[in-house]
Amino acid sequence: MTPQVVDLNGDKLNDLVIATFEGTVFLLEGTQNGFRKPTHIKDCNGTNIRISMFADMDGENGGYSEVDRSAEGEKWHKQHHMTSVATVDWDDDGDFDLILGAKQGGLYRCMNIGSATKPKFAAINHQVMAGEEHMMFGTRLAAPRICDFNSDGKFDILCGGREGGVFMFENLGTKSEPKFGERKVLIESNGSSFAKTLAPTENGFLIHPIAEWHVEPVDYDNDGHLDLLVGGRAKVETKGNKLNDEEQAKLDELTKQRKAVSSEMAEMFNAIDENAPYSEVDKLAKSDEFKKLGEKFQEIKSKIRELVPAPKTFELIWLYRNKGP
Amino acid sequence: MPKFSAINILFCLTTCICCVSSFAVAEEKGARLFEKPVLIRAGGEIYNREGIMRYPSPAIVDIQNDGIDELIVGSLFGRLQVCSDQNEGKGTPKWSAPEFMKDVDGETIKLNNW
Repeated sequence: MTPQVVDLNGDKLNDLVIATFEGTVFLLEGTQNGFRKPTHIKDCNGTNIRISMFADMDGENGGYSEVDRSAEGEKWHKQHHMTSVATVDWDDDGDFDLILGAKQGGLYRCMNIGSATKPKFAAINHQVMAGEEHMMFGTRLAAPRICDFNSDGKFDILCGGREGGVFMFENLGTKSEPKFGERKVLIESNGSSFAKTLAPTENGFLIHPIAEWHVEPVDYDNDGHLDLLVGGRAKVETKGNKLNDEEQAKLDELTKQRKAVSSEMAEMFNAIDENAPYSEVDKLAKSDEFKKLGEKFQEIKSKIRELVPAPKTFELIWLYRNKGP
Repeated sequence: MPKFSAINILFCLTTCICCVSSFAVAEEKGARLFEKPVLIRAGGEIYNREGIMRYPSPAIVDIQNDGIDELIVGSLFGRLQVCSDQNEGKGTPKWSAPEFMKDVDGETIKLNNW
């Protein structure tokens, strides 16, 4: 969801480009007096740009729909759902192309087949490749950012994501034919979105983000080196009353039950092939059996919350200063 | 959005399943490149948008075309916040208290989301 400011239509005014969990890309066109209201960026056929899966906000049935926008010869990842976008002149032809980040971690590119002043986007997406493989960041909620991190005159791709950490694919190709190799870890994650407690340092706030990292490379302090600004979530256990033996035994039993229900639901979900159409996932979500398990899960969770207060969540931004050479 | 509730539950569940496995608690491997992180402040307080923003997604950009960068923050909830630099681009920024970003008509910007 990281917003990006670029002059997408070449009118010398900055525009705002942003994607959301709807699975589409929005343009907020810049004027002399501010940004216009968001509109979908459409492809050359007048269709909203997407990867594959998208939230069908206006559809009769609600839920998600799927569309095949894969390039010829490339695998259609049916459940890949765009949540972030970045702009870059991929092929050095003077106009902005779009890099689409999927909730599942993969990156795609949607090429501008128009010009800098009359952008026109292709109706298909190409997988962004790392060597011979589809570029995957190994973290969900891929939120790509473009910068020349190694100062070699070519753009590199950075990415945060749901499980935390910052990763980079260096551009080993040329300006007009970018090529990428192995993923490099700039900052490794310190946990997952469900890690409970990490040492607080200031007024109970954590010393580093836990999950859902959205990274912005920027020379924050104007020292000539790219720093990383990282938006992320942190969850801290809230201290409740000390439990007596009976309450502790009840909590242990409920925790065991919750784990069993969760495992059962996970097993059902994992039984669906990752390349199956989303309708299979939807069918499972709407099945009586799955819904009953979901209700049971919520019921157990409520009972646990009576004994142990819910963890407190923080939505924060951290700065990782580059130490320089 | 009731029609999405079952799907949202499934999203949370699948997220939970996938998050559990992959990362062990590790040393900060970025430590050789970066200093220990510090929390960003806005309006004199630590930027914490609990309940207002989710998945804060920062960007530093000059949205007013005046040569001074602003901090803008995207969110899962579809609204954007903006902080201006009270140091006016001199040295390390000092961010004002966050405000919801408005469009050219003065209305709060809201992007579709599920």
